[in-house]
Amino acid sequence: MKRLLLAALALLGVFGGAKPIVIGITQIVDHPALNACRDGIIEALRRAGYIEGENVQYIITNAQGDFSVAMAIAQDFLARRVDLVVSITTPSSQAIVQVFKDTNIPVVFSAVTDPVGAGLTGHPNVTGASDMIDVRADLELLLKVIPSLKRLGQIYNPGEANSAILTEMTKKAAAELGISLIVVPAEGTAAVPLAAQSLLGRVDAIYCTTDNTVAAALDAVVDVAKKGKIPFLFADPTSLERGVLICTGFDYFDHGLLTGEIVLKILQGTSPKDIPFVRQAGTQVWFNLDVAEEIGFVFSAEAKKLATGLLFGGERFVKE
Amino acid sequence: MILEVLKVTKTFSLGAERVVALDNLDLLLAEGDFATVIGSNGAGKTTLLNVIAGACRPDRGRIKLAGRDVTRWPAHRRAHLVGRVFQDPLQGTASHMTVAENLALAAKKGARGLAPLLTRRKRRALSEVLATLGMDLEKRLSEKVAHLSGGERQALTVLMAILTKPKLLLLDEHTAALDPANAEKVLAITERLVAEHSITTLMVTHRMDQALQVGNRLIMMHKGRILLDLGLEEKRALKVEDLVGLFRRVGVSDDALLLGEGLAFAGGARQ
Amino acid sequence: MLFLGAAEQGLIYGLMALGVYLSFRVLAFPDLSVDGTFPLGAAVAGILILRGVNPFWAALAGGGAGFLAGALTGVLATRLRIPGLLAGVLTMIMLYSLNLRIMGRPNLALLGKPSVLSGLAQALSLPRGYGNLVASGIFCFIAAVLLLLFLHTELGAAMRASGQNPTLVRALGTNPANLQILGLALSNGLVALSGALVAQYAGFADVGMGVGTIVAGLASVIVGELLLRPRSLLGAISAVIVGSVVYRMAISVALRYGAALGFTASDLRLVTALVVLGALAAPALRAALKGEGS
Repeated sequence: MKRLLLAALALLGVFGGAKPIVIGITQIVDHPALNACRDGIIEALRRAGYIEGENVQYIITNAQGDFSVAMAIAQDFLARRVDLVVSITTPSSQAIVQVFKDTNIPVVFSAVTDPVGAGLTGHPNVTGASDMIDVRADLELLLKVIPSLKRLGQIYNPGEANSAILTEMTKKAAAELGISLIVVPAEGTAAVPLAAQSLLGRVDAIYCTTDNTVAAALDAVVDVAKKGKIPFLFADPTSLERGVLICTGFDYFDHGLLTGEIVLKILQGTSPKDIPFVRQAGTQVWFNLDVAEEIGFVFSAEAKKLATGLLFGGERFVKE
Repeated sequence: MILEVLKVTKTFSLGAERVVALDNLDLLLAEGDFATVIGSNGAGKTTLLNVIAGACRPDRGRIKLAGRDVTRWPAHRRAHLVGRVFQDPLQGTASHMTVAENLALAAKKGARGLAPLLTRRKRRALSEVLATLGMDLEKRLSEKVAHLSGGERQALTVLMAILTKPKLLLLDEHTAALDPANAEKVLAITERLVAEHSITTLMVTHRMDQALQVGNRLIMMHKGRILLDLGLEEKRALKVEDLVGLFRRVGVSDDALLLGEGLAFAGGARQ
Repeated sequence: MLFLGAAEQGLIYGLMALGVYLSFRVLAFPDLSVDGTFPLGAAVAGILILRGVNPFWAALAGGGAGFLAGALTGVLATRLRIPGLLAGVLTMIMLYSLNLRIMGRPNLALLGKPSVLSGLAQALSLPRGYGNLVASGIFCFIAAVLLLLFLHTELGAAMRASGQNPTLVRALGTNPANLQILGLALSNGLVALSGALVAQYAGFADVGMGVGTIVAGLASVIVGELLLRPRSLLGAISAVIVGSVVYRMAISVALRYGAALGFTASDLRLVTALVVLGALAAPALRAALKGEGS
């Protein structure tokens, strides 16, 4: 019943003149990637005709890293009877689902690496987008680009839920592919430089996933990789210009667009329980030829075929 | 012997200087003795009390209480045998707690369990004990000690110190911070309680008239040593001027005498 | 409706505030280990619940773990003579790694798993919607009563005295160091129990959920004191609970209406810190205004 009402409101909203739909957006911290995700969601809705202030109203919050505030935000959304909730990151999503699980208000999560492990699946009003990257594909890419690859290094923050899962997956994939893996923990951005330096001379390549701590201290890892002439693969394509040799993955803005598509489906009448959560597809592969020259690394012609884009002379070139 | 101080030496370093607070000192107190202790600044009076109570350890020598060697005992272990009243009225009580609570705590020494601190029966017993002070404190059982005057607090502290009938009572210029009227009252209470319960007492005072009139012994300290140890009759025969004269002969000036305050290190020794 | 959630949180976190009251006010010991013991309780309870242990015993086990951690802080501060603040920080740092070990990962999902709060609500046949509130109220009330009774025992009274005058306690034959260790153990036991309950309430345990615990605890204690100005022990403990509830309500209000006043969510932390700062600095400020020396 609520579903139809929502759809009706949405349609009315798009054609103007009705009460705006209230969407509550929550994230655990203020962070460029998460903000980009949020912007992507809002943009997706804008492209479909939802203009802020006219037919849609956003309540944008962030918990500043405080879990009790994340809970308070969830309760606030419920008290305001928002029409739909978008929760970005695992802890915020867990707080939202705990509060909304017995209601029929739709919840769409975003930037959650392992929705099943986080307990977000199995609720009829909850769906969303997972930002889990294909770790195995990244390792296979590395093997193709560096056929002599034997030892791999990875830096991660064991305190980040998403990160820990991806590192477990890296360990598994490396074992399957016969690569020996050295994992170095860094519990905060200050610990990253030392962690990176500890890999010098011990690895043939460095691979880091979507770890927020590494992302915040990326320059330190880039420095070490260049100094040691070690190929560095980072799973964030927006970091290419900062000196990373190979970037895979997706832009969080695109992840936001994907999430926005799910929100639109719900607004147009589909029930969340009929929408299984989606994984971000369309992984990009970028090679940084400037850095390759700097460290004396050569991409074979075979390898170059695998790229979806190249950076050369400071400019990006996308493959047709 | 209730108290035996045997060849005790204690030195403090003040930067590069070394100060000898107690110099190979011997002191014996028999049961029932009430000794007053006088001396100029830096004579070592407070250090002596600290060493007896366990607040600091002597470099050499031994302390015995009621026949037991307590030199190695920490302060809280000696508390069963020793009661102490300080000069600062704030130090002897927990000011944020009530009169009744303070007394109830003092009524038992040592291991504490989960029994309720105050029962109706205990309150009545404590009330009776307080009434003997004659300061109407039994009517203020539920008041916080912080609301009592300095004199009332010292009287309460004296009572708390003797409540469990310690073998030895140490008084460290305990009326010095009070106005004359309250000082008299507290001293009178002290003498009465000591006599009633026959408690061996060592009282440091800066007032020579007090030192002469109270107790059965007079001890005069100078530079970490005992210069004079007078019994009851000799004490009674002296006058204040005689004492002042004695001090001068040892080389202590009138100013140092009259000030009666400790030096920095002596104050430090109080901790 | 808005304040129902805040009240629930205020009560569950109230146990943590009671713990902070015990260390900060009674023992006069600023204990930073709570940022580590709060998630410790959550971690222990969480992992036990996932293994099928009854949530009530899981919560108590969490509290027990906090008790041990608090004792550790006490030992560091008294026997090893490490300054109090540092001792608390050391424990907190050690617990971060320990908590990760206990959970095996940084985040444990407890959604849908049995919770002692909902279990209690069911057992008492409470009306839907109020179950959590009453259940948390019961836990909080029992903890407060037990703490109050304890502080009125000989041991508890000696603990209160030692926070202000350890020399007196020594003169009464008790070692204030042991009282401090016991007090910190009890304090962190309460904090960890609170963490265990919050994990069940929130549906997850996360290694980062302890950040800011000491500030929230202090804010709760101080707000309560400012509002109720307690003069007795009973008043003081009631003030802690009231303060905890009011503090969480203030957060809810700030979230709801803050935007209208020009607040953003990021200002919340600043405002909280300012409240705590103001209350802690009040005595010194008052003295300075009166012209007394520093």
